[in-house]
Parts: sequence; structure tokens; C-alpha cells
Amino acid sequence: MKFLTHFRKFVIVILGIFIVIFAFSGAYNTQNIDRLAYVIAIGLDVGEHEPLKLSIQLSRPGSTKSSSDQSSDNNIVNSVECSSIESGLNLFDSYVSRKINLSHCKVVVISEELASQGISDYTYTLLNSVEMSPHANVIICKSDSEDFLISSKPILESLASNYYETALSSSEYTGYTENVTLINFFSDYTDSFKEPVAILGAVNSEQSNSLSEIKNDNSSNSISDINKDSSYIAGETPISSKDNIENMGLAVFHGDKLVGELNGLESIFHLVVSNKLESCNISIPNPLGDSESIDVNLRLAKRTKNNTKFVNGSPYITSNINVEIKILSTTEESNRGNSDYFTKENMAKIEESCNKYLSESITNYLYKTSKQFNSDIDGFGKYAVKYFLTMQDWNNYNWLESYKDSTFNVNVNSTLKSGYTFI
Amino acid sequence: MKENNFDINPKDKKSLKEVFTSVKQYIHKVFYEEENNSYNFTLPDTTNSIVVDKSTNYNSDTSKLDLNNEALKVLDTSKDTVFQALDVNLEYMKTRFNSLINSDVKIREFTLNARNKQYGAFLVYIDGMINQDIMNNYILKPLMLKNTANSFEGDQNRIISEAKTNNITVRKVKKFNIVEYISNCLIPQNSVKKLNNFDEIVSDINSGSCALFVDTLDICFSIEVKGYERRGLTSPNNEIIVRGPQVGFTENLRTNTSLLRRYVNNENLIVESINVGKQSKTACAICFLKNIANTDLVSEVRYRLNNLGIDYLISSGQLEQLIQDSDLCSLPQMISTERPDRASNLLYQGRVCIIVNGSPYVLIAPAILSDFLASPEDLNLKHQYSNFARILRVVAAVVSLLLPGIYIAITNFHQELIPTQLLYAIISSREFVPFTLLFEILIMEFSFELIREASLRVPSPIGPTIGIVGALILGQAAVEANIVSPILIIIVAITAICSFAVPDFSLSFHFRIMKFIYILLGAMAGFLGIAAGVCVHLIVICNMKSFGVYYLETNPLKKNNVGNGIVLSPAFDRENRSGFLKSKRPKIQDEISMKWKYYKK
Amino acid sequence: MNVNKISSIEAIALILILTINRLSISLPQDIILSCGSSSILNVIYISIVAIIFTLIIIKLFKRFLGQDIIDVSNFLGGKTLKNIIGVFLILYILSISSFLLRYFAETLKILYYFDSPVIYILLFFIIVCIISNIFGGHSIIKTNLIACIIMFVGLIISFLSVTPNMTIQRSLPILGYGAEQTFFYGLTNLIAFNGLLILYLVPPMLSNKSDFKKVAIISIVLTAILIIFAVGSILLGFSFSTQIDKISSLYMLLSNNVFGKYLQHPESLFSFTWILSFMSYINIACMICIQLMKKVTNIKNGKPLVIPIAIIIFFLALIPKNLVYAHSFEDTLYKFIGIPVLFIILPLILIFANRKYEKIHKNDYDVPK
Repeated sequence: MKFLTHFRKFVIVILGIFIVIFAFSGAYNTQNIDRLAYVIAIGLDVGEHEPLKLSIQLSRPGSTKSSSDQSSDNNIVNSVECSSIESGLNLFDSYVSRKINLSHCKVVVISEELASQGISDYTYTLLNSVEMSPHANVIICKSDSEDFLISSKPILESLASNYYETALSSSEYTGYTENVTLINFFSDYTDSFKEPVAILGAVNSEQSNSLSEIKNDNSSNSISDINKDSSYIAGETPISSKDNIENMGLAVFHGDKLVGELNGLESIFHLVVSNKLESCNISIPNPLGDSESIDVNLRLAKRTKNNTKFVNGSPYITSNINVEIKILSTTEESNRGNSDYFTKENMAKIEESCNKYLSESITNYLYKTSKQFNSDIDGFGKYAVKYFLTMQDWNNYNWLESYKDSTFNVNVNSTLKSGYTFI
Repeated sequence: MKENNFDINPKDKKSLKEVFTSVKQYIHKVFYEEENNSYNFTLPDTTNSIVVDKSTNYNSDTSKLDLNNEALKVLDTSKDTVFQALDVNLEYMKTRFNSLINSDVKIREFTLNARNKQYGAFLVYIDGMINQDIMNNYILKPLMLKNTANSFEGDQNRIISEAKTNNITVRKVKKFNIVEYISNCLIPQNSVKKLNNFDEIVSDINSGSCALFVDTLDICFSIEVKGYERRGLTSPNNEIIVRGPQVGFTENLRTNTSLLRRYVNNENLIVESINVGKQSKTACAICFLKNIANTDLVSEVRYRLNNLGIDYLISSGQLEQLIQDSDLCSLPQMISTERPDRASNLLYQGRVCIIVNGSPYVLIAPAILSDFLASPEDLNLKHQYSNFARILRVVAAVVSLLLPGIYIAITNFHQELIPTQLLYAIISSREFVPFTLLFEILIMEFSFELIREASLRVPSPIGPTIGIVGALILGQAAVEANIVSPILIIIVAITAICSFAVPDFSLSFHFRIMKFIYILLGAMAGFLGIAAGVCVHLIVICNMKSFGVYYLETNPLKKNNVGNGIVLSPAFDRENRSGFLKSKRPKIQDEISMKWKYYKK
Repeated sequence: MNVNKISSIEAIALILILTINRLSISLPQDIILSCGSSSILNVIYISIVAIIFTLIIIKLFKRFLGQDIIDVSNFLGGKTLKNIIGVFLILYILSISSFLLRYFAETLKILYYFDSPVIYILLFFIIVCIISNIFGGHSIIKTNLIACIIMFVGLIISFLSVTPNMTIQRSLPILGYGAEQTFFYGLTNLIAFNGLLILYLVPPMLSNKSDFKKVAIISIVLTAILIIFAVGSILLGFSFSTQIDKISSLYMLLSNNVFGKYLQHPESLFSFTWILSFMSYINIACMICIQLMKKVTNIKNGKPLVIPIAIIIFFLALIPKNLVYAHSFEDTLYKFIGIPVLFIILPLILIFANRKYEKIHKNDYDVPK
């Protein structure tokens, strides 16, 4: 068995040849870390001549060494008009010295204009790319998406990608928007009992600030006056820093088309109904009369229990919401004894007022989604599925189109749990 | 023409047939014959017996055993007492100490002169544990030489005092007593015990006394002549531990065996000497515990040592390569230690220890992978500490093997795994580096190995300087000059630190070599290459045997896998001997080892 | 090259590895596409069927302790039947493993190695297969156990990590595409339990022959659990899993797990374990082919066969033009050869062999019944 005794040498020689051929020829792979340019964010917009205007945001490496004062320099935004995302990226490849790689893309910014035309193809393309992380956030911006990327100047971070990561997770404690990722968006879009939402973003410019007041007048709803501070949508917030991006509110889709916007407060209600709220601060009417409103911290006490029934063929949706509230501040007056918040009766009054306020505004919000948008963004459809036996029946019923006929019944049960007040 | 044709045709046919048969033979040879070139030894279950110890209540299944087995008969020795006949005592001691194969147990037979009468006598002692000078001058000399005290006649009574009163001579006479006589007059030693029980005698001999048996006497003199070689014993150089004895083996074979005897302190320890090397005849010793080690294991070791066709043997490192099972993999297949405490721990587990004269490193076989990740200190520490350290070492081993390979795989193929900030840090640090990643990492790993090798070779006062020059200045300068990136320096440094944390020198050497292969594989195909490497590596390791024991047992439920030392159980719970050793005594401790806790008054 | 003393847990790993590898690529997706929202029901149903089937096989094997299907067919039909069955099984294993290999290699190519030719990826598997098989079956089985444990734990962790993203109602039109589709046509999903093939071959390899029953039941139950987990998490994880065919649904699923917050793409780490276990799978396929060949041809030394078999697998894997062909070849083989052979022909052989056994031992009183 000479063959076998020499086999070891044979294998070693073969392996050696392979290593030499493949490890040093460089033919196997051209994609190493030195030759790639990592996109931090991409923007999609309607082009003037082509169907798509693709913008990408790159960060210049090496800028981390030099301190953050030159932060504006390492933010490179370029855009190209193209017919599809892939061809656009190819065009960029010829322009940038390195190959464009999407594996570190944090955000997909889509302009309002494009979104109202339908974006399912683009999200599908992006999701189909192996490089693209499904965890990238989807932002619908009210202005040009290239402007949005240009204006994304981080205030505290030196690296733009870092900024996107932290900025978008702020919804965990504000509740003004939802952390919508690409895969959530696409999953909701294809879902037969849910419609997608996306983060609403905009560049906060001087013009939009002045507009906000007019808009507030328009919304004649008396309830939202109490929560004036949270009833803005992106781009309208009166913040002193100008030309900066902000994310507030949600963009509501029907199918893959943008149909409406929710402001910060409505986003909170969306999170409450769909069980995603972590914590947020809102104002409720003050039943004790020492001030107009009380600021409270709101959390879900139990999971929200939704149920869907069919009454005369149209959906009847009940939502039982259990929240716990903590009072953030009291007025000086109340402390002097005129109306102590923390007596049994007053606490019950506050809870009562909170229940009333929340159930009214949530019902309003739900009717807005059904009548105005016809978009079941809270996923009530999943409570209706159980009445159907096969996929065919369910598809024939077409929940998403019959959502507009639904009737809502919202019960809120709030529990007051002292407060965060220090004195 | 016709004839010619006629001639050629059958020849052709014949040759065709020949070809056919030779092909057939070849095929038969290839497929139908078992391979015979591979040496395959698997440690069988212990054949002799499982020893039943009456003094303890091990619940080994004695019912299944053949009770006529010889090995079972010699067991209860607690009641054996010294016989009057010298021959019987001699035989007893010879069996007890296995003096035929035990090379360091000496039995010196001589004739004792007392009062002009001669008695047969013999001394039993262990070479290396007694002081030769005392032995010669103060024991053998007075016993063997004629001296003044010996001038009396045989049974003559000795007159102690004589007083004459009224013509009557009153003589105080002491009756001659040979025991008293020997003890009082012939042994000028400070500590002499008269013992009757063999167990006590044997344990005294084990601790460095010498036993004197005299014909017709049913007692034995245990004379203390302890004389260990204390001078020259230094603490071990390369296996440094915090808690534990600080004594290491030396170059002298006899010293080493006596060290082992002192730690083991049991007459079942057999030190069998074998000379290896046709020209050098180097003295080697196989040490094992007769009642614990698997007999087949011992004979396999003996067989391998006896069948070495070499001219000379200088060190145990050479011997290790000559008796290992396979040379296919650079993994060490025998434990090599310079600590007698570790060696005796392993001996008590049932392993075999091979000492080569002139080498302070002792080989211990068989060994499995987890032995090389164990430190001698582990048993001295609380199990929580040692298990924590073990986990650290396993992690260190994996890191030292795979980290550079994974780094290059990730940066070349799987950039998406790196957090974005780190990615930018890597890119910016590599901005001015002119080499590819593969080349860069090969340069750094190579120069690190160079520094390591160089600092080993230079005289010790300069050693640290090389380290400083190499690590600090070279690394710093290389980064400054943009030859390598700082992140890579970190990777190389972590790899180096981890490879130092692997306790066994040979194992860390193996990892250092394999590291380069993993770097190449990672550069070739990322995770695919590394997975291929890991797969082949595992296959090779699983296929390896060390003296009939599989090097890596992957089955966590297998009986053989008990006590393999991957995770140490608490000290009171280490009941089983390592299953893979198939030793004669399957248990180390009683079911309840902390008896004080449970047997109250 | 002797594989005759494997412990029961190693045998279980041997059976599990056949299913585990398909979980990481196409299997759960195929089931979900065929049954829609009733996939979980379907999987539970086929699991019960498979377990009952296993019990029947155990019973049929009872009289043939320590014999595999080759021995049994030798008993039933002599050398002819033995050779037919042996050669057929060899061809089946060779083709199915090479098409799966191609599928996996194409998946890897899409995920990471878009610049490399597929031959390059295949070569890694083939070289590992050759080296491992030259080292022998013993170490392959031991390594397989490690790979299998790593893979099993990895899968369970990954399924648990996606639980927060699940919506239970996705399983809800309970009958999916209808009862007929779920319970009758859905029976073809039984091929998820293709580990049963090993069950027919494993008895002589066991060190303790009476462990067969234990091995069979535990391995089939574990397979069932894994399949239910995999199908469940993919079905409940995404809405589009019932509509869109993905190359590696598990990969897609894993990209949406809870570790996403801490690691960018944790699925890459999991794919490392998949590669490892797939290498182990190819090793085992080659090893079993060699074992079968040794049995059919009575040769003693199987090592010279290693390289030819590995090369055959390599070239078979090159036959499909692309991923779609590889998948359809594999699918056809499973549906039209795998199911009839595994669930009809081989059991029939066992049944007839039992008949014959009864006939021969009609007059003996100590025949085990």
C-alpha cells in the first residue's frame, strides 16, 4: 500500500499548491476592507428625468483621528439619477474610488413624494440585497431626501452612523415615533392583517417653524390643545437649532403608498394600542383646577387587550388598555394644601380624568386611521383571523379594505402610581 | 511466418492473462486486504481484577469478579506479622516490594555476628531514600564485623556484677537475649523500633527507614537512616505555581525515583528499570502503581521502550517522540512534567510514568487533550477557582488558535459583523498601510514569533531587553511608520498573551503553528476556510490515540468519559478514577469521603 | 474504517445531522410554502406520523437484531436483492448529498462569496471530506457529535432569540390552504424526516445493539422538535414567509433577532456553525456510501474508495446549472424517490422478511414474536 503511505505527502503537496494558488493570487476575492466604501445612509427620491434619485451618505474614514470639529467635512452626500437602486449604486462605483457596500447602512430615507407613489419595489430590492442589514430604519422625509442626508449633522456624535443609531432609539422614552426597521416595514406591508408605518422625518428649517402655528390652528380639536408640545409632526418643532433633521410622528401607509401622517401624540396612541409603548410623557387635563394640565409619565400596566368581532359583517373592535401613570410635577399651589394630588379622592379624580382623556383621544385616533387613512396600522386584523378557517376565506374577505367600516370601543383603565416629584 | 504467428499468439494470450491476473491481484490487494501498516492499540478493559479493598467500603461490583483470582488473595495485609523463619520473611518482603522488577528496592543479605554466633539476616531499604554513609558505617559495619562485644560465647550468660560475701560468690547474671543484644549493642542508631506488623514495617521502609530481619526472631528492627538528597533539589523552572510544593525533579534518576516514592509513599509503587539505547544504555525507569494501573497499559509502555532500535538516548524529549502513537499531528501525546507532586497525582490515577536518567522532565502516559489544559495547581485550589482558571485557559487556547484567522476572515469577507465604529477605526488605522491585510498579519505574527524565539536564545540578563525592544519599540515604530495598523498590534498581542496562558509548552507550540494555517484559511475563504480547518483539526484530534486512549472523547455521556478532568468536581465528589484509564481500582474515594461530617457519636 | 462501536448518542447525532442541515437551507421554507398558515399543524401532524412509522420499523427490526436493511434484504431475496438495494441506496445518497451540497454552496456564494466560482467553494467541502474519510469513520462520527451539538444548541438559541418578534396569529387561518392540502398533500413533507434512512442502516453500527429502539425514538422526536421550532419561528416571524421563497429562510430570520442590537449581523456567526455541520454531513454521506459498498462487494479495505466517491460527489454537484436547478433536482429526488423508498419499499422488504422468518421458524417454539 505504497499509495496510502505516501498519501499524507500527497495531501500536503496538494494543500500547499492550493494555498499558494488561491491565497496569493487574489483572484478569489476583491472585496476586502480596504477596497470598500461603507454607506451610512441612502436616500430615495423622485428624479427629475429618471424615476429615481438615489443619494448616498458616506463617511470619510480617518476622520475619527482628527477631532470632531471638522465633523461637517466627513459627511459626504452624493446623489445620482437612475432607473433602479442597483444601477444607481453602479454609477456611484464608477465615481467613488472604492466599491460601495451597504452592509453598514443604518437608515433608508425615502421622500414623501416617492412614498406616495409606492415603494414596495425599492424596499424589496434593498431587503433582497445580502449586504443590507434588515435592521436599517425607514424614514419618510417631508423634504428632499438628499437635503435630509446633508442636514444630518450630529450634535453630539462625531460619526454619523452613531448618530442614527442613538437618535432613532429615542422613541423608547419619548414615544413620538416608532423604531421601524426595514424588515418590519416590509413584513407589515406583505402582511394580510396589518399595514406598515415608517418614521416621519424632516429638516427643521425656519419656514416650517412659521408654518407650524397655522397648522395648529387648523387642528381645531380641543383635546390636543392640552398636548400642544407633542402634537407636532416632524419639521415643525420649534427648536432653536436650524437646518437639522428631526424625527417625529409616523408616516402611515396603505399598501405601499403613503396616505397620511401621525403627529407625536398619535404615535404614542399607536404604540399604546399596538402594545409597543415603553414609556412616554404626556399631559392630561387637570381635574383639580389648579392648573390647566398635569404632566404624567405613562407606561402600559398590562398588555393591551384588543379584540375584533364581526357585527353585521363589519368589524367591531374593542381595545382594553391598562396604563399606569406617574405624576411628574405638581404645582406649588397644590402643595400648599388647596388641592393635594395625593389624596384618595384626588387620585381617583386624576385617574378618571386620564381615562376619559385617553379613551376619547384614542378613539379619535382610531377613527382617523380607519376613516381617513383606511389603514390598519395597529394590526387589528390578527384578532379577526380566528374567524376564518382557510387562507382562501381570509383572502376573499380582504380585511385591509374592510377596515374602514370598523367601529371602535376603547376602554382605558389607568392606575396612578405616586409620582416622580421630589418635594 | 506461420510458425512465428503460432508462436506469438499464445504468448500474447498468456501475457494478456498475466495482465489480467495481475490486475486482479492488484485489486484484491487494494480492496480485500486489511491494512496492516497502521499500528493500532486500544486500551482494553482491565483484565486482571478490580481490586477489592476491605479497609474501605467501595461498592465496586465484586460479585462479578472471579474470586479465585490471584491478585485478590494478597490483599488484606493488616494482620500479617513477622515470621520466625528468615526465608519466609525474605520471600514475603520480596513479594511485597516486587523486588524482581522494582529496581530501587534493595535487599541486602548478610551474616550477623553476635557473640561468636552467626545469624542469617537481611536488610531491606529503598535506594535513594537512605543515607549510604550511615548505612555502611553504622549499620552494616557493627553488624558484620567482629568487635569486642562479640567475644563472648554463644549462649553464655553475661556476668554483670560479682560480689563475694562469706565466700559465696553472688553473680548477677543477665540471661542472653539476642533482641536486646542487637538493639543495645549492635546498632548505634538513635531511632530504632522493634516492629512486628508487616504493614508498619513497610510504611517505615517507604519513608526512608531500613528494616533488619534476623533469623529466628519474630520481630524486625526498623532503623531510621533517612537521607534524602536535599541538596541539589531546586524549585521547578517552567511549571510555576503559587500554591503547592516547590520541588522539581533533577537529572539523577535515583533522586527522581526517591522523590516519587516520598510523594507516593506506597509499596505498590513499582520502579522498573529499563536500559534504552544500544550504545548509550541510558537508564530509564517505568513507574506505576501495581494495584491501580492497567496491566495492559504498563506492558504496552514496557513493550515500546524495549523495542527501540536506537543507538543512544539523552533526554526524555527524544524518548517522547520515539514512543508516541502517531506523528501526524504536532499535538503532545504525553504529559511532560518536572513536578513530583503532579507526577504522583497522575500515578495515583493509574497512569504510567517514565523517567529518563539525565532528564529532569518526566513523561506520563497516557494523556488526553484536557490534561494539557490543566495546571498542576488545579488540585490544590478550591474547585471554583480552578474551574474558573480552566475556563479561562480553554478560552485562551481557542483565542490563540483562531483570533488572527477570524480577524482576517471578518475583514476580508464578513465586514458586516464588525460594529460600525470599529469598522471605521480599522479603516482609518489602515489608511496609510501599504500592505494587504494578509501580508500585514503574517509579518506581525512572524516577527512576534521571532521576538519570542530570540528572547529565549539570548543569555538571560539580556532577555527582558529583547522583549522591550521587540514589543515596545518595534511595535511603536512600526505603527508610526505606517507599516502596520495599531489594531493589528492589539490582535497580535492578545493572541500572544493567550498563547502564554496555555499551560503546556508543547500545546501552545502546536497552537502557534496551527495559527498560521488558520490565517491562510481565513484569507482564502473566510468562515468557510476556518470551518474547514476546524473540521479537519477535530477529525485529526478525534482520531489520535495516546497509548490506546482516545485523545478527545466527544461523547459527554460515555462511561469512559467520567473524570476526564474538563470540569473539576468538588474535592469530596471526585469518587471515580478517570474512566478512560481503565484502572484496576475504579474509585478513588469512599461514597462519603468526609466521614467526620456524617458519623457523629 | 470500521464503524461498529458507536454509542447511542452518536447514533442520534448521525440521524439528526441529516435534517439539521436542511433546516438551515430550504426545508422550512418548502413546508411553509406548501401549507401556508397551517404549516405548524402540518408539521405536528407529520411528526406524529413519523413517530408512529418509527415505532413500526422498530417492531419490524425486532427479529433482526443488529442487522441493517442490506442484511435483511440478503435474507429475503438473496444476493440479487441485496445488491439492488445496496446500489440503489448508494446512488440515492450520493445524488441527494451532492445536490444538497451544491445548493448549500450556492447559498454561501450568494451570502458571502459572490466573486468566487462555485467550484472553489465546493472544493473546500470535498477536500475536507477526503481527508476526514481517510482518517476513518470513528473520528467522523465523533466530530459529527460535536458539530451536531453545536448546531442543535445554535438553532435553539436562534429560535429563542426571535421569539419577541413573533406573531402567533400568523398561524391562524388554521387550515391554511384547506384540509386536503394540509393533511393529504402535506404528507409529502414527511421527507423532512429523511434521517430515517440512517435508521435503516444504523443497527449493526451500534455498540449496544439493543439500544436501537431508544436511538430511533429519541432521534425522531428531536428531529420533530427541531422542525416544529424552525417552521414555527419562520412562519410566525414574518408575514411574507408564506409568499416569498427565500434561499435561506433561517438566515433571513436570524437577521431579525434580539442580538441585532448588539451585533451587526449575528447570523454570520450562526452560518459558521452551519458550514461546520454541513461539512460533517458530507463526511457522513461519503462514509455511509463506503460502508454500503463494503457491504455489497465484501471488500475489506474501503480507503481506496474515498477519493473516487468524493470526486463523484464533486462532479454530481456540478451538474445543476444553478441554485434553482439544484433545488428542483433535490426536491424531485426527495419526492419521487426518497418518499417511496423510505416509506414504502424498505418497510415492505422488512415486512416480507418478517413473513419469511415466521415461515422458516414456524415450528420453533422459541421464536420471538
